[in-house]
Amino acid sequence: MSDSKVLMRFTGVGGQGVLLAGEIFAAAKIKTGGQGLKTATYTSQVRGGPTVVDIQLDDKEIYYPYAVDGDVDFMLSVAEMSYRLFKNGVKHGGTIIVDPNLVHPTEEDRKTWNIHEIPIITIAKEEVGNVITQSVVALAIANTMMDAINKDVLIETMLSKVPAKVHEVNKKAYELGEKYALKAMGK
Amino acid sequence: MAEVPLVLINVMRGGPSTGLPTRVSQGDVLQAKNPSHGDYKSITLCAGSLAECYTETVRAFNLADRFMQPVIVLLDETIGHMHGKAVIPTAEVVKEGIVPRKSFDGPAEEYFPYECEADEPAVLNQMFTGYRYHFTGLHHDKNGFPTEEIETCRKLIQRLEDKVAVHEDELESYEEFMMDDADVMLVAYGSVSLAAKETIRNLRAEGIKAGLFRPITLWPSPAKKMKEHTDKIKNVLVIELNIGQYHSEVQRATARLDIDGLFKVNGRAISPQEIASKVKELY
Repeated sequence: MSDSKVLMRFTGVGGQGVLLAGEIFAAAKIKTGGQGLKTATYTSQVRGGPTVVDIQLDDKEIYYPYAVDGDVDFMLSVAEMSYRLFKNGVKHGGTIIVDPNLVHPTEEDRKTWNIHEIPIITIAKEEVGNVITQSVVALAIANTMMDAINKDVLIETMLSKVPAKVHEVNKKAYELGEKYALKAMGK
Repeated sequence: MAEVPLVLINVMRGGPSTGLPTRVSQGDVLQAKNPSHGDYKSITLCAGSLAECYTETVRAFNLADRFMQPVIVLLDETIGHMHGKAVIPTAEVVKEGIVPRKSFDGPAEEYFPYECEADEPAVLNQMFTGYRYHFTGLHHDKNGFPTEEIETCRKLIQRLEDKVAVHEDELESYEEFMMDDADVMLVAYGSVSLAAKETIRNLRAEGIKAGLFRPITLWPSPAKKMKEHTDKIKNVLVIELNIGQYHSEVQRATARLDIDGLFKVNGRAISPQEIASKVKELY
């Protein structure tokens, strides 16, 4: 596996909108001339069931569409059940972002991974003013922490996938996500 | 029986019945070979990439018109839910590739839709253009009307078989991935072929010369080509998300009972690591 490869995993429960963030990442990477691939796995319990979205960004062709367990560089989780199910896919020392109101990592977890707590849903609901923007807050956090894709390209791609009337609120969501990520990184 | 062109897309998920409706499977491969009772040869294509979801569907429509029968396109849940880069032909290229369905333009009283060469499909003119014919699922004569005349019935079934069997060359489609110097041959189709390619890339980095043979037209199978390879390569592993549905076809096509298999039926994808372990365990 080449060093250019970035593996990200977004996990939550069905209906939270974690799928869209993956699509935006893949599309933005392709725009920059690279390869991006997103796959989603969910259960037959569509709303409320654990959902995982794997995002692979690479400069060379990606064949196998799922992240290999143990190789994931970055995971973001907004549901306890999904966090527990999928955390072991993250490589030791990898970064995990959790919403502290919903996910409670153990002490052991904190030793294994680089865990940051960012109240994603509260930020979307209270600071942005629209809970649906949580996927964009998550997108901004992931991109800021992983330095995966040029910010302007990512925002442009994101805006192309949401209706014009919510462009401003989504831009705000991105900026807030970035701010919290930088704070968590101590910058 | 009526020789109506039709394209069916089946994104395979875990069965039987409602099964594992959000999970991946390749459990419908043999169903696609024999979709209903009676003797005829099914045509089934299987996409192994995002781009092929498009190009194989286009091919299916062309083949349905050429052979005047249903053509099945098999996808699977993994490919169905993938988002990524796909390079597809332009609309102009697709349009240029369309071969118009055959039609009869002589006098209406001389038009017999089911009177055709022993290895050719019926010629069904557009409806409401002055050419009359009868549709039925019963055995029928040259006009399409029911008959039980012994020789007509025999010839009809033989023709339904031969219109595909005699023209298998027109249908054959496969991909060979790093097969030139391979001494381990993996056989996989659909999303499993993606895991196989990843495995091959990793195995080759370790010095194991593996290659992939990927049937794109599953039915009729690229039997001659498979045999050509398996006559030379001893180690052959068929990988699929069912209990060995294509494995039996590879055995038949290659006349070898020592073809190995890696099968998975729990709704989860087969990972490159699993394939690599199996290859190392076997060979």
